[in-house]
Amino acid sequence: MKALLRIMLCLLVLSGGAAVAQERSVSYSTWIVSGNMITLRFLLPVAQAQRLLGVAVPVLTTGKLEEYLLQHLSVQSAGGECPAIDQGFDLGRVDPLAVGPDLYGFEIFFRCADPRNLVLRNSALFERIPAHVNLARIQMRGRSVEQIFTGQHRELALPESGAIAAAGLGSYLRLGFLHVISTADRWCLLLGLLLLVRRRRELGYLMLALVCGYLVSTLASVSDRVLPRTSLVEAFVGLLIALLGALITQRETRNPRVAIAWPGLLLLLAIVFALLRAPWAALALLGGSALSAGFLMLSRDFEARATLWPFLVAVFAFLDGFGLAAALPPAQLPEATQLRILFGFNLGALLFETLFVALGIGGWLLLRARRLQIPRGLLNDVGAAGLCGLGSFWMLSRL
Amino acid sequence: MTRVVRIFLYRPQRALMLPALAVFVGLLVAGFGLLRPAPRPLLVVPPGYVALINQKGILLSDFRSQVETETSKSFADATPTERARVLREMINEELLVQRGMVLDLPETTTEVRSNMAIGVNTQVAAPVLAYEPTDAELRAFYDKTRDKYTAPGAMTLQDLVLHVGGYQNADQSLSQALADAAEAVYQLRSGAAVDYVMVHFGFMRSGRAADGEELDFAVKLHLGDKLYQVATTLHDGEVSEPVLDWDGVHILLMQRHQFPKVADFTAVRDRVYLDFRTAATNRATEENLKLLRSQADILVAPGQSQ
Repeated sequence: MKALLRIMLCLLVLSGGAAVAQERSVSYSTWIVSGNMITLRFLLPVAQAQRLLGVAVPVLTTGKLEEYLLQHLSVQSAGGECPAIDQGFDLGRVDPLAVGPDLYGFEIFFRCADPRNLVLRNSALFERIPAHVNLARIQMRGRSVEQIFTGQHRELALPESGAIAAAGLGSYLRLGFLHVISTADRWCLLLGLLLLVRRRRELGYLMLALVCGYLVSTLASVSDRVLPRTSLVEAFVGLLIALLGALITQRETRNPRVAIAWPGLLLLLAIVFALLRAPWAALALLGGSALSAGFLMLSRDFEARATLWPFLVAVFAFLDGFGLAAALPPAQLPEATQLRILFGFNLGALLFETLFVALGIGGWLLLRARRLQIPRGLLNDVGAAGLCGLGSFWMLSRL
Repeated sequence: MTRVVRIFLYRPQRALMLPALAVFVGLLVAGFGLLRPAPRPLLVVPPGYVALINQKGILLSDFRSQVETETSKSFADATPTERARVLREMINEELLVQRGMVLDLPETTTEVRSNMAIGVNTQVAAPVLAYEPTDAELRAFYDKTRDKYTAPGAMTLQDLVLHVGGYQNADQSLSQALADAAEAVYQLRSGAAVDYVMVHFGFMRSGRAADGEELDFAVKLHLGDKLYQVATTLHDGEVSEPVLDWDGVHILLMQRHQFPKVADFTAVRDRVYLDFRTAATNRATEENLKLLRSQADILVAPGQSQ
């Protein structure tokens, strides 16, 4: 137990820089095509703008963003590049909009000499944040459709006649797939789950838990009744990772103190955050403490009779399913569109997770078939320590 | 004892139910921390409103008064067409206001900024202006600001000047000129004719005084500060002492001096009333600004002052 704690502490210290999970980067654009005039409204969350430009002063951020957006947003037509027109007064070519305290908004008017063969170009932020996504809405000929610009898809050619096609399910599926690939904490959690799988039917439970979690999350998001507190949800994912580590530790060491130590620590943190007047973080930690205590005790006493850990997987999938949902409100999408986007996104995440588990189990079976001896005990100990260390780090750094 | 209670009191059920309850409660509590209710858009116009534009409402009371203002009829008498027209106009206006807010006009356009500032001041002054002062309060205000209610004075005077060392008498020194002027003053006060004195001592009309009556401010403007100060002390028929100015030695002859006088309260009550309200408005504006400043976080760049 002491050795395990030592490994865990070392990992916690070493994990500092490398363990920072990539935060989701989303911006929003609306392109209104009317004759030879294309109106573009671009929204960027304040936190991302400040991180992008490294300037905390709003006036400077706005000024720099205007120049930056002019260079990275354009419209091409049969008549060549459509210039951004001067909007008069002292506005220049980019008009800053007041769109609330959490967003920077800009409006640009492009006028095309020949409005045929229109191509919308958006390369803003992709070179700095490769995983950045721009949720775009194109309004043309009385119809409005949703599209996405990504690092790989920076251009959108508009049809000469007929309706413009909305982004397909595949685009969102790809986003969900990339979302899990690009986040270190999801990888850790999946690795932890692989350590917990012992029987074949547990794989079924695992997949069922993931499906149920994402499904409930999608329905909850589309109902428009709840929104996640994003940083706290991400912190809770860290808590779940650490809880998986504690679960493995309890199983390996058969030490009953695990069920007291980890929840006790969380309770202490909840008190600290309550004293720091962070009520929502305190509530999340308090809930996490009760969940951990109950779950570790149940697992200790009923492990032989029931497989309980997939329940934690369902909780994780439920929270992860809010990943894109949290970024959708500024786009003001209709319910059906939200459902399609979230379904595609969560399905993509689920597909990657399935693939990951399948590859993990396949690799394990391959090693066993080749009669390679894997020190399961060591793997579990190091894995549990890593999960506890990294999970705690993510939890604390995001609270 | 009910079965539910027994579950929590005895093993082995307790060993299962208590942790399960902890998990449930934990999830519930964490859920409150992790999730928040999404803002629900209004899908129907709430009572008291006549329309919702991008979730912003137009009050029914505003609509009624706007209809009455535009049609000069009571709301009940206005036709459905008239009401529809007014509502359309109000919706258009709301759309333009919302667009103005999105374009951040209060921050970027001078006219909008000044109108907003006026609007705030008017709102702050509204309760003050609603109060009707009593005569006693007005009189007290009048007594405190009596100087403001003086009727302007007027003068009819002559200004004679004896140029020193001019072409009339190039050898005349300043002391000689002052002595001559003193003698001239003596003779004028003794009843000598002005024309005689002018010829005898070489005085001329300075051209600074008008032929007839002039209001005080005009006299001051024409004579200059130094001579005006002397003139204000003279009564009807008095002759001033010689006054040395940049163009020579002057003598002022006051023919008629109507001194400024404080107007009676009853004569200027309306003015006092307006001034009282203006002063109250200014006080309210200043107090409001004082409060706003006390609550604001104002940083001034080094080298600048306010």
